Amino acid sequence: MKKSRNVAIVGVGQTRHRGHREDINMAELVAEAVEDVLADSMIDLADIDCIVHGNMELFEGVHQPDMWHVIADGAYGKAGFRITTGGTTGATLVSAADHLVSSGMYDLVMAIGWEKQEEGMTTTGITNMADPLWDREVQTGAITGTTGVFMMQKFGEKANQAAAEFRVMMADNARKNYKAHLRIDITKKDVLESRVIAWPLRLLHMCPESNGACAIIFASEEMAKKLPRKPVWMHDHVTVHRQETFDFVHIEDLDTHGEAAKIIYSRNGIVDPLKQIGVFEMYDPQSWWSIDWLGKFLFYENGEQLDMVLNGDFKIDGKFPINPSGGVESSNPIGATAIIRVAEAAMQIRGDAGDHQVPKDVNLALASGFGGTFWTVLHLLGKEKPDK
Amino acid sequence: MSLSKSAQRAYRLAGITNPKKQLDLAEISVQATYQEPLWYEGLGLAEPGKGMELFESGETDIKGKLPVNPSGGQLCGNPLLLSGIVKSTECFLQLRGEAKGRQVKDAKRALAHGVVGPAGQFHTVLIFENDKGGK
Repeated sequence: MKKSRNVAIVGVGQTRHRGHREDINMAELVAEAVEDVLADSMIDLADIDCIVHGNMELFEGVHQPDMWHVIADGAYGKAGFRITTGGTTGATLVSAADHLVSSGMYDLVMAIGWEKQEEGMTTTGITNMADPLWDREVQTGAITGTTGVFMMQKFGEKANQAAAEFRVMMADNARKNYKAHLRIDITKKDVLESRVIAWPLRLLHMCPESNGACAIIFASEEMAKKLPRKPVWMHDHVTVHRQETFDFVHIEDLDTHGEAAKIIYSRNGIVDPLKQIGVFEMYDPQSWWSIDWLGKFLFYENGEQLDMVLNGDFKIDGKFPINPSGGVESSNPIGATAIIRVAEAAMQIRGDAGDHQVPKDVNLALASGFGGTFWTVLHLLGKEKPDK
Repeated sequence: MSLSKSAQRAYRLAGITNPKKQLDLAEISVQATYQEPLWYEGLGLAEPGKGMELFESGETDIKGKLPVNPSGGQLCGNPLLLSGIVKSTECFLQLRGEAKGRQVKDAKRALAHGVVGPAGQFHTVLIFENDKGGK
């Protein structure tokens, strides 16, 4: 992507994502992430020029929460934007902040994604977004078992084993990440024997509903040079839309992931993603999608990714680590989920992800967002400054 | 008042020190008549408390020194969420000299304003120039 000037991530912050946070309100949840990012970046809140704020308003039922949250994020009297693009909110926040700095408009932009799911009803929010007559073919939330059915038809028991194996891998990673919500100790047997939600999708394949927030500070190149944190550079991002309505029936046709990957690989000289990309933080709310989508991001047509899952290639110390954080299946505060992917990717490049740091030098990291009416946002981050 | 913060920031970016003199027209978001003098004051076109005087002076009429809302504004049609971009489009037409019957003569620099919030909590101010502006 052509940029007017380079943009760097100079700080990341997150809450500990939890299922219950009755002790705080939404603004206080946001404040926790903001405090964390200010501590990480060693930047004074007064120096931030612009705040980009996002969640899914329909989930909590609070309109224009960014106005309330000026008391928590320091946006009072500053330029501010509100972004609500469904599951991709967090990724779109990053794209917006990247543009706002790259354009020369602002030198320091803070992006905040958050969700307090216990204060609302997610499925009600989602089903009410679509017109019941034209746009809503199935009465459901965002996640269905359809992909699982197609994977079972195509690959049989191997897919069943891979979906369970992948979920166990996420739990193993989450236990290394103290900020993850579900840090459970489960076996493949537990997953395969858990309650069926919609065959072959089982309870343990699914992500939780989490409360959480994540904030990232973006800086121009000149500003980044003066700041204490080692910068992580924004190399590229792309958003690909396909469906215009909620079509849960034909979800197996979802090809925005492959399209987005094709664009980002070709623009950045990536011919062998497994070798060139050090870590991939993927937005995958249930493990049937994980094992299907990995094939799409890596252009496998014959289910090669299933063997790789069973082989352990995607483990934290594997050939191509996926979600060392534990991923979305371990924490899903929706408006924060996709920005957490970018924050985690940045931490892996900095090399300070703690117990869930991948045991290798990460030069390039990929982060994906998924949501809205099935669209994909991809971010490519790097240790080295990109040539504009 | 958030409007004056927003306006002052836009003026600073655009190098405007005297908006009333340096602007050729303004398209502002007035959804009820009482807002017009309030927004004049917020935008720094009138001193605090003097917005109504400016309105009555006729200076903001289409043939006045600083025409405000030559398009007729939102009182004549309010596409709610689109109002800010409609204001910007109006400025664009004016600066290209294509505003037909509502054209402001020699318009070089224009201001567009959007507002949201029942008590005017959230304002956006944009300054547009054509190639003769800023000279």
